[in-house]
Amino acid sequence: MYARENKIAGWSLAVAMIALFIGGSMGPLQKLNYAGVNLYDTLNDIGLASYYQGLTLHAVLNALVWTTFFIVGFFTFALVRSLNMPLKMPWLNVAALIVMVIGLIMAAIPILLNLATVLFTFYPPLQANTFFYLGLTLVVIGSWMHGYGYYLTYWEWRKQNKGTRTPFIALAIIITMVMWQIATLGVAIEIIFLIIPWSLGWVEGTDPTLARTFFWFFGHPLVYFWLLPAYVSWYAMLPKQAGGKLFSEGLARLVFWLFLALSVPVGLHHQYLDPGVPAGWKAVHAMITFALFFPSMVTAFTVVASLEVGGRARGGTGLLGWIRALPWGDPSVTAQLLAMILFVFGGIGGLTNASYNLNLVIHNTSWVPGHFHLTVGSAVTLTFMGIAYWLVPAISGKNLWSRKVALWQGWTWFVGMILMSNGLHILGLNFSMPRRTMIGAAPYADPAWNPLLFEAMIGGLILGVSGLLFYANMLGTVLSRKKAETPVEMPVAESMDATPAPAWLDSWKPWMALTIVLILIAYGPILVDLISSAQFTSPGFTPW
Amino acid sequence: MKPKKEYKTPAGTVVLMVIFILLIIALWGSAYLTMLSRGAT
Repeated sequence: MYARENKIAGWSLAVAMIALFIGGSMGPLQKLNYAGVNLYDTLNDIGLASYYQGLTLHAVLNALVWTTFFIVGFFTFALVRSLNMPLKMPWLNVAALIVMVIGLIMAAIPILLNLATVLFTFYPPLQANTFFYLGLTLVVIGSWMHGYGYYLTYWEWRKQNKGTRTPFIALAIIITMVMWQIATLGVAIEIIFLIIPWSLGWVEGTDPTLARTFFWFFGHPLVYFWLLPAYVSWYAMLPKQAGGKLFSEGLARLVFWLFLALSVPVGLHHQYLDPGVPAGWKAVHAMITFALFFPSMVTAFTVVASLEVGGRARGGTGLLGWIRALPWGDPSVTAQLLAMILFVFGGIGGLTNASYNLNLVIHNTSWVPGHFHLTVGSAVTLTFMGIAYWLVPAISGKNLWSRKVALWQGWTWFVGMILMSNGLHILGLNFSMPRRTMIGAAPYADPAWNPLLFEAMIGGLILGVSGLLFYANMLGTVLSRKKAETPVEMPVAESMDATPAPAWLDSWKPWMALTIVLILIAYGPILVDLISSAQFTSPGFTPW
Repeated sequence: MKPKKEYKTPAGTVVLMVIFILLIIALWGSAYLTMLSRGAT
Protein backbone atom coordinates (compact mmCIF):
# COMPACT_ATOMS: atom_id res chain seq x y z
CA MET A 1 0.00 0.00 0.00
CA TYR A 2 1.16 3.55 -0.75
CA ALA A 3 4.00 2.22 -2.91
CA ARG A 4 4.43 5.50 -4.80
CA GLU A 5 4.42 7.56 -1.62
CA ASN A 6 6.95 5.19 -0.08
CA LYS A 7 9.24 5.67 -3.07
CA ILE A 8 9.03 9.44 -2.82
CA ALA A 9 9.70 9.24 0.90
CA GLY A 10 12.54 6.75 0.45
CA TRP A 11 14.39 8.79 -2.18
CA SER A 12 13.92 11.98 -0.17
CA LEU A 13 15.43 10.31 2.89
CA ALA A 14 18.30 8.94 0.81
CA VAL A 15 19.22 12.41 -0.47
CA ALA A 16 18.83 13.82 3.04
CA MET A 17 21.20 11.27 4.53
CA ILE A 18 23.84 11.66 1.80
CA ALA A 19 23.76 15.41 2.49
CA LEU A 20 24.11 14.83 6.23
CA PHE A 21 27.03 12.49 5.61
CA ILE A 22 28.96 15.00 3.49
CA GLY A 23 27.99 18.04 5.54
CA GLY A 24 28.47 16.26 8.83
CA SER A 25 31.95 15.08 7.88
CA MET A 26 33.08 18.72 7.91
CA GLY A 27 32.09 19.12 11.58
CA PRO A 28 35.00 17.24 13.21
CA LEU A 29 37.43 19.12 10.92
CA GLN A 30 36.18 22.42 12.32
CA LYS A 31 36.51 21.25 15.88
CA LEU A 32 40.00 19.83 15.27
CA ASN A 33 40.92 23.23 13.90
CA TYR A 34 39.66 24.80 17.13
CA ALA A 35 42.23 22.69 18.97
CA GLY A 36 45.01 23.68 16.59
CA VAL A 37 44.89 20.64 14.30
CA ASN A 38 44.59 22.05 10.79
CA LEU A 39 43.65 19.38 8.24
CA TYR A 40 42.51 21.89 5.64
CA ASP A 41 45.97 22.26 4.08
CA THR A 42 46.06 18.49 3.56
CA LEU A 43 42.54 18.50 2.14
CA ASN A 44 43.50 21.15 -0.42
CA ASP A 45 44.62 18.23 -2.58
CA ILE A 46 41.07 16.91 -2.84
CA GLY A 47 39.62 20.33 -3.55
CA LEU A 48 38.69 21.72 -0.13
CA ALA A 49 40.05 25.23 -0.43
CA SER A 50 39.49 26.58 3.07
CA TYR A 51 37.88 26.33 6.49
CA TYR A 52 35.15 28.60 5.17
CA GLN A 53 34.32 26.38 2.21
CA GLY A 54 34.03 23.47 4.66
CA LEU A 55 31.83 25.57 6.93
CA THR A 56 29.56 26.45 4.00
CA LEU A 57 29.28 22.77 3.05
CA HIS A 58 28.57 21.84 6.67
CA ALA A 59 25.86 24.43 7.16
CA VAL A 60 24.10 24.32 3.79
CA LEU A 61 24.03 20.53 3.56
CA ASN A 62 23.06 19.94 7.20
CA ALA A 63 20.76 22.84 7.95
CA LEU A 64 19.05 23.22 4.58
CA VAL A 65 19.37 19.97 2.63
CA TRP A 66 19.28 17.25 5.31
CA THR A 67 16.34 18.89 7.04
CA THR A 68 14.24 19.84 4.01
CA PHE A 69 14.60 16.52 2.21
CA PHE A 70 13.98 14.55 5.41
CA ILE A 71 10.90 16.62 6.18
CA VAL A 72 9.26 16.16 2.77
CA GLY A 73 10.04 12.43 2.90
CA PHE A 74 8.64 12.05 6.42
CA PHE A 75 5.60 14.19 5.61
CA THR A 76 4.81 12.34 2.40
CA PHE A 77 4.90 9.05 4.32
CA ALA A 78 2.87 10.33 7.27
CA LEU A 79 0.25 12.47 5.48
CA VAL A 80 -1.26 9.69 3.38
CA ARG A 81 -1.44 7.35 6.35
CA SER A 82 -2.97 10.01 8.56
CA LEU A 83 -5.65 10.83 5.98
CA ASN A 84 -5.91 7.17 4.97
CA MET A 85 -5.84 8.13 1.30
CA PRO A 86 -3.09 8.28 -1.34
CA LEU A 87 -1.69 11.51 -2.75
CA LYS A 88 -4.24 13.17 -5.03
CA MET A 89 -1.65 13.98 -7.71
CA PRO A 90 1.44 11.87 -6.97
CA TRP A 91 3.19 13.04 -10.13
CA LEU A 92 3.26 16.53 -8.63
CA ASN A 93 5.21 15.26 -5.62
CA VAL A 94 7.50 13.22 -7.88
CA ALA A 95 8.13 16.37 -9.94
CA ALA A 96 8.71 18.28 -6.69
CA LEU A 97 11.41 15.85 -5.65
CA ILE A 98 13.07 16.04 -9.08
CA VAL A 99 13.06 19.85 -8.95
CA MET A 100 14.57 19.77 -5.46
CA VAL A 101 17.31 17.37 -6.56
CA ILE A 102 18.14 19.48 -9.64
CA GLY A 103 18.28 22.54 -7.41
CA LEU A 104 20.51 20.74 -4.94
CA ILE A 105 22.96 19.73 -7.67
CA MET A 106 22.96 23.29 -9.07
CA ALA A 107 23.73 24.71 -5.65
CA ALA A 108 26.20 22.03 -4.62
CA ILE A 109 28.51 22.29 -7.64
CA PRO A 110 29.48 25.95 -7.01
CA ILE A 111 30.00 25.17 -3.31
CA LEU A 112 32.26 22.22 -4.17
CA LEU A 113 34.17 24.39 -6.67
CA ASN A 114 34.66 27.08 -4.02
CA LEU A 115 32.51 29.46 -6.05
CA ALA A 116 29.88 29.84 -3.34
CA THR A 117 31.73 30.12 -0.04
CA VAL A 118 29.09 32.38 1.44
CA LEU A 119 28.11 30.33 4.52
CA PHE A 120 24.57 29.26 5.33
CA THR A 121 23.08 32.76 5.44
CA PHE A 122 24.68 33.90 2.13
CA TYR A 123 24.52 37.47 3.42
CA PRO A 124 25.35 40.10 0.81
CA PRO A 125 27.85 41.55 0.20
CA LEU A 126 29.33 38.02 0.19
CA GLN A 127 28.68 36.94 -3.36
CA ALA A 128 28.35 33.47 -4.87
CA ASN A 129 28.10 32.10 -8.36
CA THR A 130 24.56 32.64 -9.71
CA PHE A 131 23.94 28.91 -10.00
CA PHE A 132 24.15 28.62 -6.20
CA TYR A 133 21.22 31.03 -5.81
CA LEU A 134 19.28 29.47 -8.68
CA GLY A 135 19.79 26.04 -7.11
CA LEU A 136 18.53 27.17 -3.71
CA THR A 137 15.53 28.75 -5.42
CA LEU A 138 14.71 25.45 -7.12
CA VAL A 139 14.98 23.57 -3.80
CA VAL A 140 12.47 26.01 -2.31
CA ILE A 141 10.17 25.80 -5.36
CA GLY A 142 10.31 22.00 -5.16
CA SER A 143 9.31 22.14 -1.49
CA TRP A 144 6.39 24.41 -2.44
CA MET A 145 5.33 21.84 -5.05
CA HIS A 146 5.40 19.16 -2.35
CA GLY A 147 3.14 21.44 -0.33
CA TYR A 148 0.73 21.85 -3.26
CA GLY A 149 0.57 18.05 -3.57
CA TYR A 150 -0.31 17.84 0.12
CA TYR A 151 -2.92 20.62 -0.07
CA LEU A 152 -4.69 18.96 -3.01
CA THR A 153 -4.79 15.67 -1.13
CA TYR A 154 -6.08 17.43 1.99
CA TRP A 155 -8.83 19.25 0.05
CA GLU A 156 -9.92 15.97 -1.50
CA TRP A 157 -10.09 14.43 1.97
CA ARG A 158 -12.10 17.40 3.24
CA LYS A 159 -14.59 16.96 0.36
CA GLN A 160 -15.02 13.30 1.20
CA ASN A 161 -15.18 13.85 4.98
CA LYS A 162 -17.32 16.92 5.54
CA GLY A 163 -17.87 17.69 9.20
CA THR A 164 -15.09 15.37 10.33
CA ARG A 165 -12.12 16.79 12.23
CA THR A 166 -8.87 16.60 10.30
CA PRO A 167 -6.64 13.91 11.83
CA PHE A 168 -4.02 15.65 13.96
CA ILE A 169 -0.94 14.44 12.07
CA ALA A 170 -2.37 15.58 8.74
CA LEU A 171 -3.42 18.95 10.15
CA ALA A 172 0.01 19.50 11.71
CA ILE A 173 1.71 18.67 8.41
CA ILE A 174 -0.47 21.03 6.40
CA ILE A 175 -0.01 23.86 8.92
CA THR A 176 3.77 23.37 8.79
CA MET A 177 3.80 23.48 4.99
CA VAL A 178 1.61 26.60 4.89
CA MET A 179 3.91 28.30 7.39
CA TRP A 180 6.87 27.30 5.19
CA GLN A 181 5.07 28.63 2.11
CA ILE A 182 4.62 32.03 3.75
CA ALA A 183 8.11 32.17 5.25
CA THR A 184 9.93 31.28 2.04
CA LEU A 185 8.36 34.26 0.28
CA GLY A 186 11.00 36.33 2.08
CA VAL A 187 13.98 34.39 0.79
CA ALA A 188 12.39 34.09 -2.66
CA ILE A 189 12.08 37.88 -2.89
CA GLU A 190 15.62 38.32 -1.60
CA ILE A 191 17.13 35.91 -4.12
CA ILE A 192 15.03 36.81 -7.17
CA PHE A 193 14.94 40.60 -6.84
CA LEU A 194 18.04 41.50 -4.85
CA ILE A 195 20.67 38.83 -5.31
CA ILE A 196 20.38 37.18 -8.72
CA PRO A 197 20.40 40.44 -10.76
CA TRP A 198 23.36 41.57 -8.63
CA SER A 199 25.30 38.31 -8.99
CA LEU A 200 24.72 38.40 -12.76
CA GLY A 201 26.06 41.94 -12.90
CA TRP A 202 22.77 43.40 -14.17
CA VAL A 203 22.91 45.90 -11.31
CA GLU A 204 26.04 47.34 -9.75
CA GLY A 205 25.19 46.89 -6.11
CA THR A 206 22.73 45.58 -3.57
CA ASP A 207 21.43 46.68 -0.19
CA PRO A 208 22.69 44.29 2.52
CA THR A 209 20.28 45.50 5.21
CA LEU A 210 17.23 44.98 3.01
CA ALA A 211 18.55 41.59 1.88
CA ARG A 212 19.17 40.51 5.49
CA THR A 213 15.67 41.61 6.47
CA PHE A 214 14.10 39.47 3.74
CA PHE A 215 16.43 36.62 4.74
CA TRP A 216 15.28 36.70 8.38
CA PHE A 217 11.63 36.94 7.31
CA PHE A 218 12.41 33.37 6.24
CA GLY A 219 15.28 32.52 8.58
CA HIS A 220 13.50 32.29 11.91
CA PRO A 221 10.40 30.43 10.71
CA LEU A 222 12.91 28.09 9.07
CA VAL A 223 13.75 27.06 12.65
CA TYR A 224 10.10 26.10 13.15
CA PHE A 225 10.00 24.35 9.78
CA TRP A 226 12.73 22.14 11.27
CA LEU A 227 11.13 21.83 14.69
CA LEU A 228 7.47 21.26 13.84
CA PRO A 229 8.07 17.89 12.13
CA ALA A 230 9.90 16.84 15.31
CA TYR A 231 6.86 18.05 17.26
CA VAL A 232 4.61 15.93 15.00
CA SER A 233 6.58 12.93 16.18
CA TRP A 234 6.76 14.02 19.84
CA TYR A 235 3.02 14.74 20.05
CA ALA A 236 1.48 12.11 17.84
CA MET A 237 3.92 9.21 17.49
CA LEU A 238 6.26 9.03 20.46
CA PRO A 239 3.48 8.59 23.07
CA LYS A 240 2.34 5.49 21.18
CA GLN A 241 5.92 4.17 21.05
CA ALA A 242 6.17 4.83 24.80
CA GLY A 243 2.94 2.98 25.53
CA GLY A 244 0.93 6.10 26.26
CA LYS A 245 -1.61 8.43 24.68
CA LEU A 246 -1.61 12.04 23.54
CA PHE A 247 -2.49 13.92 26.73
CA SER A 248 -4.43 16.71 25.02
CA GLU A 249 -5.09 16.79 21.30
CA GLY A 250 -6.74 20.19 21.69
CA LEU A 251 -3.55 21.70 23.11
CA ALA A 252 -1.49 20.02 20.39
CA ARG A 253 -3.65 21.59 17.69
CA LEU A 254 -3.57 24.98 19.39
CA VAL A 255 0.23 24.86 19.49
CA PHE A 256 0.52 24.28 15.75
CA TRP A 257 -1.90 27.12 14.98
CA LEU A 258 0.06 29.44 17.26
CA PHE A 259 3.31 28.52 15.54
CA LEU A 260 1.68 29.33 12.19
CA ALA A 261 0.71 32.78 13.48
CA LEU A 262 3.85 33.59 15.47
CA SER A 263 6.75 32.01 13.57
CA VAL A 264 7.18 34.64 10.87
CA PRO A 265 6.79 38.09 12.49
CA VAL A 266 9.87 37.66 14.70
CA GLY A 267 12.81 37.80 12.30
CA LEU A 268 14.22 41.12 13.47
CA HIS A 269 15.44 39.53 16.70
CA HIS A 270 18.23 38.16 14.49
CA GLN A 271 19.01 41.75 13.47
CA TYR A 272 19.29 43.42 16.88
CA LEU A 273 22.75 44.65 15.88
CA ASP A 274 21.82 45.79 12.36
CA PRO A 275 22.20 49.58 12.41
CA GLY A 276 19.69 50.24 9.61
CA VAL A 277 16.71 48.81 11.49
CA PRO A 278 14.93 51.13 13.97
CA ALA A 279 15.01 49.96 17.61
CA GLY A 280 11.21 50.24 17.94
CA TRP A 281 10.66 47.54 15.33
CA LYS A 282 13.24 45.34 16.99
CA ALA A 283 11.21 45.70 20.20
CA VAL A 284 7.99 44.67 18.41
CA HIS A 285 9.67 41.54 17.08
CA ALA A 286 11.21 40.84 20.50
CA MET A 287 7.75 40.87 22.10
CA ILE A 288 6.30 38.51 19.51
CA THR A 289 9.37 36.29 19.95
CA PHE A 290 8.62 36.01 23.65
CA ALA A 291 5.01 35.14 22.77
CA LEU A 292 6.47 31.98 21.18
CA PHE A 293 7.43 30.96 24.71
CA PHE A 294 3.78 30.06 25.35
CA PRO A 295 3.33 27.35 22.68
CA SER A 296 6.82 26.11 23.53
CA MET A 297 5.92 25.62 27.19
CA VAL A 298 2.56 24.07 26.25
CA THR A 299 4.51 21.63 24.09
CA ALA A 300 6.86 20.79 26.95
CA PHE A 301 3.91 20.13 29.25
CA THR A 302 1.76 18.15 26.82
CA VAL A 303 4.53 15.96 25.44
CA VAL A 304 5.94 15.14 28.89
CA ALA A 305 2.43 14.46 30.24
CA SER A 306 1.82 12.08 27.32
CA LEU A 307 5.06 10.30 28.19
CA GLU A 308 4.06 10.17 31.85
CA VAL A 309 0.84 8.43 30.82
CA GLY A 310 2.99 5.92 28.91
CA GLY A 311 5.48 5.43 31.73
CA ARG A 312 2.71 4.84 34.27
CA ALA A 313 0.93 2.43 31.90
CA ARG A 314 4.20 0.50 31.77
CA GLY A 315 4.25 0.15 35.56
CA GLY A 316 6.15 3.29 36.56
CA THR A 317 5.23 4.60 40.00
CA GLY A 318 6.05 7.54 42.22
CA LEU A 319 6.45 11.14 41.24
CA LEU A 320 9.20 10.54 38.69
CA GLY A 321 9.57 6.74 38.67
CA TRP A 322 7.63 6.58 35.39
CA ILE A 323 10.68 8.03 33.60
CA ARG A 324 12.65 4.85 34.25
CA ALA A 325 9.70 2.78 33.01
CA LEU A 326 9.81 4.38 29.56
CA PRO A 327 11.12 2.06 26.83
CA TRP A 328 14.76 3.18 26.96
CA GLY A 329 15.73 0.02 25.10
CA ASP A 330 13.91 1.25 21.97
CA PRO A 331 16.46 3.36 20.05
CA SER A 332 13.76 5.39 18.32
CA VAL A 333 12.29 6.41 21.68
CA THR A 334 15.65 6.94 23.36
CA ALA A 335 16.98 9.16 20.59
CA GLN A 336 13.89 11.36 20.82
CA LEU A 337 13.91 11.53 24.62
CA LEU A 338 17.56 12.57 24.58
CA ALA A 339 16.77 15.12 21.87
CA MET A 340 14.12 16.61 24.16
CA ILE A 341 16.53 16.87 27.08
CA LEU A 342 19.04 18.72 24.90
CA PHE A 343 16.24 20.94 23.62
CA VAL A 344 15.53 22.10 27.18
CA PHE A 345 18.90 23.86 27.13
CA GLY A 346 18.48 24.95 23.51
CA GLY A 347 15.20 26.62 24.43
CA ILE A 348 16.73 28.44 27.37
CA GLY A 349 19.57 29.64 25.14
CA GLY A 350 16.94 30.85 22.68
CA LEU A 351 15.37 33.02 25.37
CA THR A 352 18.81 34.48 26.02
CA ASN A 353 19.31 35.22 22.32
CA ALA A 354 15.93 36.94 22.16
CA SER A 355 16.75 39.21 25.12
CA TYR A 356 18.11 42.41 23.58
CA ASN A 357 20.76 43.24 26.16
CA LEU A 358 22.06 39.68 26.40
CA ASN A 359 22.05 39.40 22.62
CA LEU A 360 24.50 42.30 22.51
CA VAL A 361 26.90 40.13 24.51
CA ILE A 362 26.60 36.84 22.68
CA HIS A 363 25.84 38.06 19.14
CA ASN A 364 28.23 36.58 16.55
CA THR A 365 30.10 34.67 19.24
CA SER A 366 30.51 30.90 19.47
CA TRP A 367 27.48 30.92 21.81
CA VAL A 368 25.30 31.00 18.69
CA PRO A 369 26.53 27.72 17.10
CA GLY A 370 26.51 26.26 20.63
CA HIS A 371 22.81 27.19 20.76
CA PHE A 372 21.70 26.00 17.35
CA HIS A 373 23.50 22.70 17.68
CA LEU A 374 21.13 22.06 20.58
CA THR A 375 18.12 22.99 18.45
CA VAL A 376 18.59 21.99 14.82
CA GLY A 377 21.60 19.79 15.64
CA SER A 378 19.87 17.92 18.47
CA ALA A 379 16.16 18.54 19.00
CA VAL A 380 15.65 18.21 15.24
CA THR A 381 18.47 16.02 13.96
CA LEU A 382 18.47 13.50 16.81
CA THR A 383 14.68 13.30 16.61
CA PHE A 384 14.89 12.73 12.85
CA MET A 385 17.42 9.97 13.52
CA GLY A 386 15.00 8.48 16.04
CA ILE A 387 12.21 8.66 13.46
CA ALA A 388 14.52 7.06 10.88
CA TYR A 389 14.89 4.05 13.19
CA TRP A 390 11.28 3.09 12.45
CA LEU A 391 10.71 4.96 9.18
CA VAL A 392 13.56 3.42 7.18
CA PRO A 393 12.52 -0.12 8.22
CA ALA A 394 8.91 0.77 7.37
CA ILE A 395 9.84 2.01 3.88
CA SER A 396 12.41 -0.68 3.11
CA GLY A 397 10.47 -3.57 4.59
CA LYS A 398 13.62 -4.65 6.46
CA ASN A 399 14.38 -4.84 10.16
CA LEU A 400 16.64 -2.23 11.70
CA TRP A 401 20.17 -3.59 11.25
CA SER A 402 21.19 -3.17 14.91
CA ARG A 403 19.15 -1.82 17.80
CA LYS A 404 22.23 -1.87 20.01
CA VAL A 405 24.25 0.26 17.58
CA ALA A 406 21.27 2.62 17.31
CA LEU A 407 21.15 2.99 21.08
CA TRP A 408 24.88 3.71 21.20
CA GLN A 409 24.35 6.25 18.45
CA GLY A 410 21.70 8.14 20.40
CA TRP A 411 23.74 8.24 23.60
CA THR A 412 27.01 9.20 21.89
CA TRP A 413 25.20 12.04 20.11
CA PHE A 414 23.85 13.17 23.48
CA VAL A 415 27.23 13.09 25.23
CA GLY A 416 29.11 14.60 22.28
CA MET A 417 26.61 17.41 21.94
CA ILE A 418 26.72 18.27 25.65
CA LEU A 419 30.50 18.58 25.52
CA MET A 420 30.66 20.53 22.27
CA SER A 421 27.76 22.81 23.02
CA ASN A 422 28.91 23.56 26.56
CA GLY A 423 32.35 24.56 25.31
CA LEU A 424 30.94 26.79 22.59
CA HIS A 425 28.40 28.46 24.89
CA ILE A 426 30.97 29.39 27.54
CA LEU A 427 33.56 30.50 24.99
CA GLY A 428 30.97 32.84 23.53
CA LEU A 429 29.47 34.18 26.72
CA ASN A 430 32.57 34.49 28.89
CA PHE A 431 35.29 35.08 26.31
CA SER A 432 33.44 36.53 23.29
CA MET A 433 35.13 34.02 21.01
CA PRO A 434 33.86 34.83 17.51
CA ARG A 435 31.83 32.35 15.54
CA ARG A 436 32.46 31.58 11.85
CA THR A 437 36.17 32.09 12.36
CA MET A 438 39.15 29.83 11.76
CA ILE A 439 40.18 30.02 15.41
CA GLY A 440 43.18 27.75 14.88
CA ALA A 441 44.71 30.46 12.69
CA ALA A 442 43.53 33.48 14.72
CA PRO A 443 46.49 35.44 16.15
CA TYR A 444 44.27 36.85 18.91
CA ALA A 445 43.21 33.41 20.21
CA ASP A 446 43.58 33.47 23.98
CA PRO A 447 45.32 30.54 25.76
CA ALA A 448 42.51 30.74 28.35
CA TRP A 449 40.19 29.38 25.65
CA ASN A 450 42.16 26.15 25.26
CA PRO A 451 40.42 23.90 27.80
CA LEU A 452 37.02 24.76 26.36
CA LEU A 453 38.26 24.44 22.78
CA PHE A 454 39.57 21.00 23.71
CA GLU A 455 36.22 20.09 25.26
CA ALA A 456 34.42 21.22 22.09
CA MET A 457 36.82 19.19 19.98
CA ILE A 458 36.24 16.02 22.02
CA GLY A 459 32.49 16.61 21.69
CA GLY A 460 32.79 17.16 17.93
CA LEU A 461 34.78 13.96 17.48
CA ILE A 462 32.25 11.94 19.50
CA LEU A 463 29.51 13.42 17.31
CA GLY A 464 31.47 12.31 14.26
CA VAL A 465 31.61 8.74 15.61
CA SER A 466 27.89 8.92 16.39
CA GLY A 467 27.21 10.00 12.81
CA LEU A 468 29.17 7.01 11.50
CA LEU A 469 27.11 4.67 13.71
CA PHE A 470 23.95 6.18 12.24
CA TYR A 471 25.07 5.79 8.61
CA ALA A 472 26.25 2.23 9.29
CA ASN A 473 22.83 1.35 10.67
CA MET A 474 20.96 2.96 7.80
CA LEU A 475 23.13 1.24 5.18
CA GLY A 476 22.98 -2.06 7.06
CA THR A 477 19.20 -1.84 7.13
CA VAL A 478 18.68 -0.88 3.51
CA LEU A 479 21.28 -3.31 2.12
CA SER A 480 20.11 -6.24 4.23
CA ARG A 481 18.75 -9.08 2.10
CA LYS A 482 16.39 -10.29 4.76
CA LYS A 483 12.86 -8.95 4.66
CA ALA A 484 11.11 -8.14 7.92
CA GLU A 485 8.58 -10.77 8.97
CA THR A 486 6.25 -8.17 10.42
CA PRO A 487 5.91 -4.91 8.51
CA VAL A 488 6.68 -1.79 10.56
CA GLU A 489 3.70 0.55 10.84
CA MET A 490 3.66 4.28 11.52
CA PRO A 491 3.04 4.78 15.26
CA VAL A 492 -0.05 6.90 15.87
CA ALA A 493 -0.94 7.88 19.42
CA GLU A 494 -4.59 7.91 20.42
CA SER A 495 -5.92 10.98 22.16
CA MET A 496 -6.75 10.54 25.85
CA ASP A 497 -9.93 12.46 25.32
CA ALA A 498 -12.20 10.80 22.75
CA THR A 499 -14.25 14.00 22.32
CA PRO A 500 -13.43 15.67 18.97
CA ALA A 501 -11.34 18.83 19.22
CA PRO A 502 -13.33 22.09 19.08
CA ALA A 503 -14.26 23.28 15.58
CA TRP A 504 -12.19 26.48 15.94
CA LEU A 505 -9.10 24.30 16.15
CA ASP A 506 -9.92 22.81 12.75
CA SER A 507 -10.74 26.04 10.97
CA TRP A 508 -8.25 27.87 8.78
CA LYS A 509 -9.88 31.29 8.43
CA PRO A 510 -9.29 32.81 11.89
CA TRP A 511 -5.73 31.52 12.11
CA MET A 512 -4.78 32.62 8.61
CA ALA A 513 -6.30 36.04 9.32
CA LEU A 514 -4.27 36.31 12.55
CA THR A 515 -1.11 35.19 10.73
CA ILE A 516 -1.49 37.76 7.95
CA VAL A 517 -2.41 40.60 10.34
CA LEU A 518 0.61 39.91 12.57
CA ILE A 519 2.96 39.79 9.58
CA LEU A 520 1.54 43.02 8.19
CA ILE A 521 1.92 44.76 11.56
CA ALA A 522 5.42 43.45 12.24
CA TYR A 523 6.87 43.70 8.76
CA GLY A 524 4.67 46.08 6.71
CA PRO A 525 5.93 49.49 7.89
CA ILE A 526 9.57 48.47 8.31
CA LEU A 527 9.72 46.89 4.85
CA VAL A 528 8.12 49.97 3.28
CA ASP A 529 10.71 52.08 5.11
CA LEU A 530 13.67 49.90 4.14
CA ILE A 531 12.56 49.56 0.50
CA SER A 532 11.88 53.29 0.08
CA SER A 533 15.28 54.16 1.55
CA ALA A 534 17.21 51.28 -0.05
CA GLN A 535 20.66 52.02 -1.39
CA PHE A 536 21.76 49.50 -3.97
CA THR A 537 25.40 50.42 -3.70
CA SER A 538 27.24 47.48 -2.22
CA PRO A 539 29.43 45.51 -4.63
CA GLY A 540 29.97 41.79 -4.16
CA PHE A 541 32.91 40.28 -2.27
CA THR A 542 34.43 36.82 -2.49
CA PRO A 543 37.07 36.80 0.25
CA TRP A 544 37.64 33.04 0.34
CA MET B 1 -22.17 11.34 41.70
CA LYS B 2 -19.12 12.59 39.84
CA PRO B 3 -17.90 10.38 36.98
CA LYS B 4 -14.61 8.70 37.79
CA LYS B 5 -11.62 10.42 36.18
CA GLU B 6 -10.05 8.41 33.36
CA TYR B 7 -6.59 9.65 34.30
CA LYS B 8 -4.74 11.21 37.18
CA THR B 9 -3.20 14.65 37.17
CA PRO B 10 0.28 14.29 35.65
CA ALA B 11 2.03 15.19 38.88
CA GLY B 12 5.46 14.14 37.62
CA THR B 13 5.07 16.42 34.63
CA VAL B 14 4.15 19.33 36.89
CA VAL B 15 7.32 18.71 38.93
CA LEU B 16 9.43 18.59 35.77
CA MET B 17 7.86 21.83 34.52
CA VAL B 18 8.69 23.54 37.81
CA ILE B 19 12.30 22.29 37.49
CA PHE B 20 12.32 23.57 33.89
CA ILE B 21 11.18 27.03 34.96
CA LEU B 22 13.77 27.13 37.75
CA LEU B 23 16.43 26.10 35.22
CA ILE B 24 15.32 28.90 32.89
CA ILE B 25 15.61 31.41 35.71
CA ALA B 26 18.99 30.06 36.82
CA LEU B 27 20.62 29.83 33.40
CA TRP B 28 19.18 33.05 32.00
CA GLY B 29 20.07 34.76 35.27
CA SER B 30 23.60 33.42 35.18
CA ALA B 31 24.05 34.74 31.63
CA TYR B 32 22.67 38.08 32.80
CA LEU B 33 25.05 38.22 35.77
CA THR B 34 27.96 37.31 33.51
CA MET B 35 27.01 40.22 31.31
CA LEU B 36 26.89 42.58 34.28
CA SER B 37 30.18 41.28 35.67
CA ARG B 38 31.91 42.17 32.42
CA GLY B 39 30.87 45.77 32.89
CA ALA B 40 30.20 48.44 30.30
CA THR B 41 32.35 48.18 27.18
